Order: sequence, then C-alpha cells, then structure tokens
Amino acid sequence: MLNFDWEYITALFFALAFVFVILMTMGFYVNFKRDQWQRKKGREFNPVHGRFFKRYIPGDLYKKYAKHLEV
Amino acid sequence: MTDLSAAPSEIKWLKLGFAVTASVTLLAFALAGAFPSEFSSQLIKAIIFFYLGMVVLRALFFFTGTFLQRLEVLRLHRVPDQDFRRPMVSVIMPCYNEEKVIEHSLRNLTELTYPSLEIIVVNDGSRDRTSMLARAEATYSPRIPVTVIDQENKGKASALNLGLLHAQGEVIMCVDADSRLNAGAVEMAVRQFQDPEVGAVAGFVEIVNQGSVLLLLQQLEYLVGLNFSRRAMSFLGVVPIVPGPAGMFRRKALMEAGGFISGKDVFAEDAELSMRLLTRGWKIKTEDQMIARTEAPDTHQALLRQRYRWNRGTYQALLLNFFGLLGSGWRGRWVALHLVAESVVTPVLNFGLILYFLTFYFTTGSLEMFTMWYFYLLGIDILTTTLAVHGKGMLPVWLALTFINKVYYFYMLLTWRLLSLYEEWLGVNMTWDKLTREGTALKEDSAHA
Repeated sequence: MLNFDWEYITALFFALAFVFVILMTMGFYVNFKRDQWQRKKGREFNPVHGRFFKRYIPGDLYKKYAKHLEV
Repeated sequence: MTDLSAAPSEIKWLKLGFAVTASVTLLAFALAGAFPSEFSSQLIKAIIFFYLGMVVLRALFFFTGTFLQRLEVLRLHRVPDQDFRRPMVSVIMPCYNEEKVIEHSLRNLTELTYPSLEIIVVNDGSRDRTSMLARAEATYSPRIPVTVIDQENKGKASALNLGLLHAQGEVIMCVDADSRLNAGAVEMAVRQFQDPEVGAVAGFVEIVNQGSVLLLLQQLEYLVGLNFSRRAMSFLGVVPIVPGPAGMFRRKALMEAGGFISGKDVFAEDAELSMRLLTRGWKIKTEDQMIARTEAPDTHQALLRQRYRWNRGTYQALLLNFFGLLGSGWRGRWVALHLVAESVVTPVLNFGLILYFLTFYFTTGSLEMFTMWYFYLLGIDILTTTLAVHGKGMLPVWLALTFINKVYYFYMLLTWRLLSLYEEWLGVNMTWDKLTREGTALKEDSAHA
C-alpha cells in the first residue's frame, strides 16, 4: 500500500510554485526589457506582439492591436 | 533653506554598498544550501527565527498602531465643526493627455463640499484636448473658482510646482486626474492640521475596477499592506509616502522643503517630498475620510510596469534622503529603517531563503525547514487579513485571496522588486512610463456615486 507523506507533498507543491512564479516573473522581465528596447528603437508598444496566449488578451486591447495578429 | 539631500557621490557609495551586500547575501544563501554543514544549518535556522520574529513584531506594531490611530481619529471626529479653523485649500491637479477622464475628474472636484476651496488644473503640455475640455468644464463651476494653466511638457513635479506658485491657499491638496475623491474628503483632512507639527496628511487609495483575480489581489494588497500599515505609521506621525492621488500639505511645510523635486532623478515625487518633509521634522498623518478611488492596472504587464516605477522611485527617494532622515531625530530614523527593511532587507532575505531552501532540497531532499517557515508566514498573513478586512464582509473570499497571494502574487512582486533594485544599482536608464487608462471604470463609478 502506498504511503503518502502529505506534509512533504504540500511542501513540494509550494516549492514548485515558487520556482514557477520566479520563472514567470523572469519571463515578464524579458518581455518588459524587450518592450523598452523596442521603444528606444522608436517602435510603438504592441502588447499583442510575441504573446503566446493570444486568446486571453483583454477585448479592448485585442481590438486596438488586432491588425498585428496573425490570421 | 539648507539642502539636506545626499550628494551624488554619497548616493553612488550607498548604491554600491547595498548592491554588494545584497549580492553577497544571496550568494551565501545559495552556497549554504548547496554545501550543507552543521554550522550553516544552525546559522540559517537563526536567520529564519530572526526573520519570523521581526515579522511578528511588525504585525504587533501594525495591530497596536492601527488601534491607537483609530482611537485618535474617533477623538478628532467627535469635536464639533465650529471648533476648527477652516483655512483656504488649493487643489492642484496636474494632467497629461487626460481627455478621457478630465471632465469627470473636474466635476468630481467641484462637488467637494468644503466651503473655502480653489481648483488649479495644470496642463503639462498634453497633446490631446485636455486643456480645452478643462476650460469648458471650468465654466460650469460657479461656486469654486477653477484656474487652468498650460505649460510645456516638463513632468508631473514641475506641473505641481507651477500650480503651487499660483495657489492662494494655506493648505495645498494634490490630486491625480484619474482618481475620484469623496465629497467630504477635505473637511476631515483639514482637521489634522490643528496640530502645528503636522506637515502633510495622506489619503487612502481604493481600487474602482473589478472583475479579475489580479485586481482582487491588488485590493487585498492596498487594504492590508498599504492602508493597514499606513494607519499604524500615522499614529507616530511617520507615514513614509503621501500618495499622489490624495495628499494634503501645509503650504509652509511645502515651501520650506522647496516644493516637488523636478528632473529625471526621482520617479516617485510623492515619496521624495514626504521623506523631505520628515527630514525637516514635520509629522505626516493619514485621514480615513479622505479616499481617492482610482483605476488599477488590470494586466500583469501593466501592473509590473507600474511597480517598476514605484520600486525604483521609492528607492531613489530613499537614497537621496537616507542621511537626512538618519540625522533628523527619531521619526526620521524610524522611517529610514522601516523603508530599508521593507524595500531592501525583506526582498533580499526572502529571496535568499528561497534560494537556500531550493538548493538545500536538491542536495538533501529535505523540505522540513521550508514547511515551517512557509506555514508560519501564512498564519501571520491570515491573522493580519482577518483584522484588516474586519467589517467589510466576505471573509472567506479574502482568506482565499490571502492564500493565492502567498503562493503567487507576493513572490511575483518580491522577485520584481529585486529586479528593479538591481536595475537601480546598475543605473539603468528609465523613462516616465505612464499607465494608459481608459477611464471606463471611473466613469461608471461616478455614475453610481
């Protein structure tokens, strides 16, 4: 019979959550720096460009930048 | 007027000191986890206990301070209106490209019930119809005089300073164009100036827009982190930041401190001015009845962009006034230590401990210390939230949010703070990154009010 160490599993879950959150923030940071770099180059900020989960873009932003989306 | 701000060379050394200490600490934590020994394990345990002890002391200070502040406010609110002086108040509203919200904001200000009031709108070189719309709206205000001034685009601090030059009032109130005040905000806040040592009064900020977990998490953060701690600090008169959307200043204090700092060195002019007032021995209080309702960023990108500016701005203000605060009596020292603890020590220590736990797990497979540390902090957070949301209802929702906050939001902002601090230490150029607001939530909010 399997014996689950719930305390360990819970702790592991939180530890993995930390790793995930830190990596996610790093991802945002890369995005943020890229945007800064693009502005420096004189390009307009485009929140749609390079986004992976395109379907979650808020409606107003989607309309505004829809022309940049791949069809 | 003596300048108590730190010289550039002093700031350089301070930055270097912070950067080296933080980097060495983080490295030490990672190495301690990677090469565990009896000594390092005992040392880490001692650090964890020290950290948790400080967290408990901090929470106790917040609980006691907030309770005492509530008593103080109740006493102040019981005094009849006629026993208070009603000095003239000048409301300064700087705007830059605010055509979507300017009419609503001005209408909201003209609905303030305070009898002796003037409104000064400073258009900071907007490229849209802000100035025209403000002038048109001003004609609909027969009771309160509204002045609209135009200037070239020079930044918010410069606009506020220009407004200050035109202001007649003994008390100056600064508001943002994208926030709404409650009608009785000024009456109650002015009462705080009965104490001649009070130089500024900070208002409270509430978030108007709803509809996502991210916004709810921000609401929780404002409620517990910002408003709750601010109340406790108010009891001692050491509120470290008078927020941009709702702040009131004694004109004398503002002039003595030299107005708002303009230029590109500080991106949080509100925090910088607050610290400068504290270095000169003025008390800064809060007023529960002065509430600014504002729109919060509703996407991760926008939120982190805003926090980047806040983090670096507060840090710049702290560096500039660090020595001034240390040399200005117990209030200044308290604020300096509080800000260093909140903006530097907490992220470094927290991040360092996470690094330790993770590397320790990879070498030994043990997560015992991590569990203790994590659940202890979560317990304190649950207690703080329960007290902070008392009387607001929906306790289970707030508690669920506390949990999500502890797993995700808190550590996201912590990591972000550390990244912003490193950018500041490295002197990476930054620009004023204004949050784009559509003003929809604010318009709806005004319609319901």
